[in-house]
Amino acid sequence: MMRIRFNEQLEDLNRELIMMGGLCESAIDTCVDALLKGDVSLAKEVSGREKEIDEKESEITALCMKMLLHQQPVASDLRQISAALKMVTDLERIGDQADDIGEMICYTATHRIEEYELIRRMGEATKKMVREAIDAFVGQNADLAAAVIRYDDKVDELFVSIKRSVIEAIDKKTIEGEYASDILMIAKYFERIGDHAVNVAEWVEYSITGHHRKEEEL
Amino acid sequence: MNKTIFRSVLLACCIVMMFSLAVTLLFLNSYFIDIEFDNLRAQAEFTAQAVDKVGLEYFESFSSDIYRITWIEADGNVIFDSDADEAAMENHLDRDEIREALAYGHGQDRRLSDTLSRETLYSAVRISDGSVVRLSVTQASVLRITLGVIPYMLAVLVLALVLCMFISRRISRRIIDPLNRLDLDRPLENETYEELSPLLVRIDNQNRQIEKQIDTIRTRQKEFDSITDNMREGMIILNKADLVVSMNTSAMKLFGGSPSVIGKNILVLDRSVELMGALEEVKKKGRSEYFFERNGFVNRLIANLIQDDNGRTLGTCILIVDETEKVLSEGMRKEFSANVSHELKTPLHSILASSELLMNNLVKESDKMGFIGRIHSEAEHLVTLIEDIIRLSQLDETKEFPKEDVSMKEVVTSVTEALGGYARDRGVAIECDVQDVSFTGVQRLVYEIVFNLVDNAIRYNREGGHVWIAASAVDDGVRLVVRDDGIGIPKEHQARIFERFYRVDTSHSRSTGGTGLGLSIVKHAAMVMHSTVELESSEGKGSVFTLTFPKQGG
Repeated sequence: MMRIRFNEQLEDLNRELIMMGGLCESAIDTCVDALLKGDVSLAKEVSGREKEIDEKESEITALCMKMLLHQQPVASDLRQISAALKMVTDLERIGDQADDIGEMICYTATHRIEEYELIRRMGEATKKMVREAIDAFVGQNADLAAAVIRYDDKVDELFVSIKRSVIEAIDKKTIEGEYASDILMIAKYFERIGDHAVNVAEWVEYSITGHHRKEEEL
Repeated sequence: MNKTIFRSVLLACCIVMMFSLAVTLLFLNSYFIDIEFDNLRAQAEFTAQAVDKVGLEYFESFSSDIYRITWIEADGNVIFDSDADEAAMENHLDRDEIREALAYGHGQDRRLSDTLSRETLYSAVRISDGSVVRLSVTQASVLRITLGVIPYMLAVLVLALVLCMFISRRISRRIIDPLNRLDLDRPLENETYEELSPLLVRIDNQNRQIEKQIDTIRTRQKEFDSITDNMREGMIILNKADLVVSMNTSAMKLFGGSPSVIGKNILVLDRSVELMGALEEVKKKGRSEYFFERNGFVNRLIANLIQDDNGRTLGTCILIVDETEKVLSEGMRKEFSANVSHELKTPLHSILASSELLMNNLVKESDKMGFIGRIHSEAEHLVTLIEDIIRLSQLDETKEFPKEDVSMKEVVTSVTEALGGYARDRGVAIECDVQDVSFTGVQRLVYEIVFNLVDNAIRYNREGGHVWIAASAVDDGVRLVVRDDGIGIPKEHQARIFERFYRVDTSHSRSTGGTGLGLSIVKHAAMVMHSTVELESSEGKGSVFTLTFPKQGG
């Protein structure tokens, strides 16, 4: 009887996490879309998404706590729940950062800048990372999670090239100070989103295999 | 099972043990008492004789640990007692054994001590002087013996317990073994206790019933699957907890799922915010729908709550309908009406402006003819445009056209006659290579086709260009080829030139005249006669339109 109830709760947790993942994906998709089109109204939609994501986070945390206290899970069950607890914080941060980018879009006409192509590639790359990290969770696919972790290098490279390009533009005085800082910030936010996607992927790996990468490094 | 058997065996053991103990004790007790009495009587008689002969001196030599001896006078007074002070003893006349001895010469009795733990047997014999000699012996009572036996009994009981455990385990194992070996799939083939046969028959019946029901369910499932799998629409059925119960092939293709998704949450398949919202809405309002785009197709997702007669929610049914065509045609309709109003308005504005200038006498006398000429040509253009639109709408609306024998040669001749003047004006030569072929079709439509193709070939040509018209019989019908060496159609426009009002020249300038409807009419008319239209063209080199009319044109 207890086990049935517990399984139901695990299923609930799984569903809630997928929903939260879907919301994050939608937030970053909308954010990238708004960024590429320079669409302010789309950018404002992101902040609504972000609030939903925050709500989901507290819901999931509460559910995890309830399960931990009432059912006192062990072994793989405990792993699953603790991974969920860690994942929601990363997902929530992804939502926050997408919202931050959305806010910047409202003040910066990013679609006109020279670094547009690089920013576009970075947006698409982080979008892909978030989508695949959540795909890995949904399909409990450790290989996909590992691929997401590897892909982060590309996003980091893109960040470096955007930074270089902006510095060059500053040297040549072809860019306004405000733009320069905005672009750099947006690129940094994307880079952070990529890092959070990596974290999510690592927790997915952990919940499947029982080993966390960081553990081995320590 | 083991426990029950153990308990009953132990109980039976205890009861038998108690019972046999009681019976044995009672039986042995009375037996030994009888022997004791006999003994006692023999001793008493022997003593009595001695006392009779010797008198009181006998007692002086008497000493015994076992027996107590008492000599009582006929009036009940105790003369001697071996264990107590005779003076202190009461009259013994009321004792049963004394009374009996006085009356019959011998008497006996047995009395329990006050504590019930000891029992005294008395045997009295009358001697010749009428007094009585009594011998008594004291021994443990039955109760005492019973109490004494209890520790041994307990030991035996422990032994019995162990034995019972052992036996009951063996018994239950022996009973259960055949039960465990029962083949419940084929209950009637078992050889086991005959007491079980009603149960086995019942199980057999139920087995068969279950099998039948499963078969029915399976057939129904198969029917359901084959019906839904052949649907073009995607269908997903969810249970109360949004887990996928059934999903047809179309839906799987659309969402890229595999059969393993059945039994999992629908969000595993698609976690879009729209679907989440729809699932929430459906639970509140009973219905929800939204459009979404995937793989270039526009789909409409309709979710409906499934409830039973009592209003309890059973699940959700999701239908996904491909609405690409509808959305596209809606877009085309919008574009068409926008185009029509634009095409009609432009010549009218030109006419209005020119006539207004003329009306207000703002035109120099020498320019007047030019303005009137423009009004005329624009009006003419309007008429052609409207005629074209009417023709096209006729083609749209008319489902059945009267079929007749169409001679290609006649049609081409009448077209070249009609367009001969126009071709000469534009400096384009028309060359015909038309065989005398005929087929069943709609004369008027074939004329429209040839007219529009040739008209276009002349219109989009250059000074000194050529138009070749060829018709010949082929295997499956009649082939018409209209070729020109005019300006040609750029590749990127070739796919769309049959659309209404579509122009390669997007500026909508009417430098060449034309309505933008000609090729639409050609395509439509060709469709009515089930003819194919092929286009080969390269920019700057000219175009070739090839139509093949089937012999029996539809």
